[in-house]
Amino acid sequence: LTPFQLRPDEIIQEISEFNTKLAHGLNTLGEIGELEDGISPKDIVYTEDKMTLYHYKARVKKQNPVPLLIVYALVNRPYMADLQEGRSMVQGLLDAGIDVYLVDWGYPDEGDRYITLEDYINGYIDNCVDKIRDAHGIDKINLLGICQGGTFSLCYTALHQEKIKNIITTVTPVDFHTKNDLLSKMVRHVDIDLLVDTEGNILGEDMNSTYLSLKPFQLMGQKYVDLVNILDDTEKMRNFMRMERWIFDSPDQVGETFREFTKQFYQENGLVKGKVKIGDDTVDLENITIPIMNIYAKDDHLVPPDSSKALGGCVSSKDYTELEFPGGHIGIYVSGKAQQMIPPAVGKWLDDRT
Amino acid sequence: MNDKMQFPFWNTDWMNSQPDWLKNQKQYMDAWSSFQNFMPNSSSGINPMFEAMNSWWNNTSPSLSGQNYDFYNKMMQQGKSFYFMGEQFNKLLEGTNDVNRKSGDWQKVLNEQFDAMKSAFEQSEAMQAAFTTAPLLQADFQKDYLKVFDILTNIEKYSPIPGMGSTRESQEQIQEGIRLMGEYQEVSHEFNIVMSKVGIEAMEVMRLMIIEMAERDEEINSLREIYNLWVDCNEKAYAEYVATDEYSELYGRLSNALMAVKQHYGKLMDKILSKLNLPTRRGRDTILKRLQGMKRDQSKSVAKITALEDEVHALRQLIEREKKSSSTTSTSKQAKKKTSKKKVAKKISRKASKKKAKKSSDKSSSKKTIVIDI
Repeated sequence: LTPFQLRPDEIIQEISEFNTKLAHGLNTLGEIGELEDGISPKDIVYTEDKMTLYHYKARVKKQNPVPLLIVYALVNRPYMADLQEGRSMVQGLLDAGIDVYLVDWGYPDEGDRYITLEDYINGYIDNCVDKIRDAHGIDKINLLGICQGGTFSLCYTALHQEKIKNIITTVTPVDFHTKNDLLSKMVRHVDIDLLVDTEGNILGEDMNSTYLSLKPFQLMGQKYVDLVNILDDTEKMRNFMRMERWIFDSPDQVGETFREFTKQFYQENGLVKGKVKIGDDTVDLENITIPIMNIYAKDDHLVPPDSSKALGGCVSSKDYTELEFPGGHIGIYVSGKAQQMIPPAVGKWLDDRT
Repeated sequence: MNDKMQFPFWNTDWMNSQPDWLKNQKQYMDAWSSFQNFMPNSSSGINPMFEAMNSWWNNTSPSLSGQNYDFYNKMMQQGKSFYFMGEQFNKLLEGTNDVNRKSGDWQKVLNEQFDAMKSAFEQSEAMQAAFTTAPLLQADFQKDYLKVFDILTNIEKYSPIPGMGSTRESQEQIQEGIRLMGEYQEVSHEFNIVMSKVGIEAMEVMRLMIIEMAERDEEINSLREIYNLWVDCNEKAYAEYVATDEYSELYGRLSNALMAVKQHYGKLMDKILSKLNLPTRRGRDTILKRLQGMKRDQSKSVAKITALEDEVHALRQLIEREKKSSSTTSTSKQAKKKTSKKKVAKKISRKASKKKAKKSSDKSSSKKTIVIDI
């Protein structure tokens, strides 16, 4: 028996409805209005070049005395961690009594082309850590890294552990040569020197198309066809547009850092081999002995779980905790489910170690 | 807001300023929707709807700003694959209507329809584009830069001739550019062929899945379900291929070939700019590299100076403390000296008194003497 239980005229009817919804949808766009760059109130406490260090205002009385610095990735923008009411990891952490700081890398341009990993890790991050330590009059702070920011946080901790009390990594790549790492396979044979020497900074839109090309039919096709079904719902469209805006709000990647990161991490898998060089220093994850919480997403197509879970075997820490989130790379920050799960778990884990 | 994006990026001011226009557009689509109800229920019904949508879009899109256009255009483009599926499966359903739906003959119709779809895919640039959009390779490059190469290709007939005379070097560079461009086009062609094969393979996966669904008595009740199945099959076929070493190697070759072309022409451009005494990219890179190095050195110097300042400050504090403590010591020594002088004086006077007392006691031996040793 044929599985098709529909008539040709029903297909025509469906397409007709699709057309009508699509045409009417333009109206909904007009009702969306402005969208925010993050929702939680915050102060700028330090700037250097294009980098800004934010300090979020507390939402609860009870405060963990050790502040937490969130290190975001160089790709996309950090307001993803504070996207909207009820879907904000920052808000969740503040509610858990954490004193939250966040590094925003800004939008590098051609003038930043020769910033290196050393400048990012031993420069910007170290300066932010020192500012927070000074402000609170303490020796050590907590660190939370997001994706590539997690990799940076691990490198930083391996080199400056005396300044860090606890480290939390979220969807962080550690082993860049795991079986399902499509991104890594994609760049394996690309001549990165030729690419960077030719392009200079790597355009944000090129980075985006690379990520989208990992699931092109879902991310570049199905998503928009599905969108037609909510085109008449202003609130749903506003939520969609928030994400859409974030996805395509992609800063260019600084050429030299892209060169170092892609070659040393993606091509040579140097982090797990203890061969990554940051300036004159070599990063050895075995140096890390402080408590670690490693959060990864079960259905992550950008950073496969195995890539993150490799961390456990690389560090010397006796206090190592893993937390699996049942979702994808972005869902871990913006889904309602994540808000219930991640910030409270982080808050409790930190409280237990303060 | 940043300098990279206009805000809101789907700026809709134009809509508010033209409410009548928008109303007219809606009425147009509503009229079309009503009209289609009177159309015969045949596959010919989809093409007119697609044409209507296209026509609506052609009228609407010029009024949209760049980013609004981009966003809605994405939806329109993706709509095309939805229409494609609609058209193809409409034909399939018409075909299966003509045969006994409970016999195995529907599979024959299915196979024929999939053969037709495969050939439609091979001929449809829009469908192939979904597969062949190579990441990291800018579409604009193909459109804009290649115009330059087209011009150069026109002089390709001269390329086998060895360069000579005062323009020998320029000729050789142009020939090298043409050679690199040829290499890129060759790899690009190879890439597109492979990706088209993956697209065809996805259709085969879909055909088999439909047959499997029939065997499991599963139903497909809407075009959306068909479309979703098509997406899943494509993702599956694509992901399997992207995970292979063959893809990794091919993608690397494609990227490297393109970069070689771009770099070559970038150098040629630099040469021209240099001759005109205008800033070149090479020169700019030198300055930027030097500047960043200086900034790094400066940061390190500042850190060293700060550390030294801290050290000096600490030393100063230490010296101050030492000074204070030594002055306290000398004062106390003086005080001690004074005290001891007093004590000595007291002692002497006491001894003198003692002697006096002793003398007097000696004088009167019946009296007891208490000697206090100081």
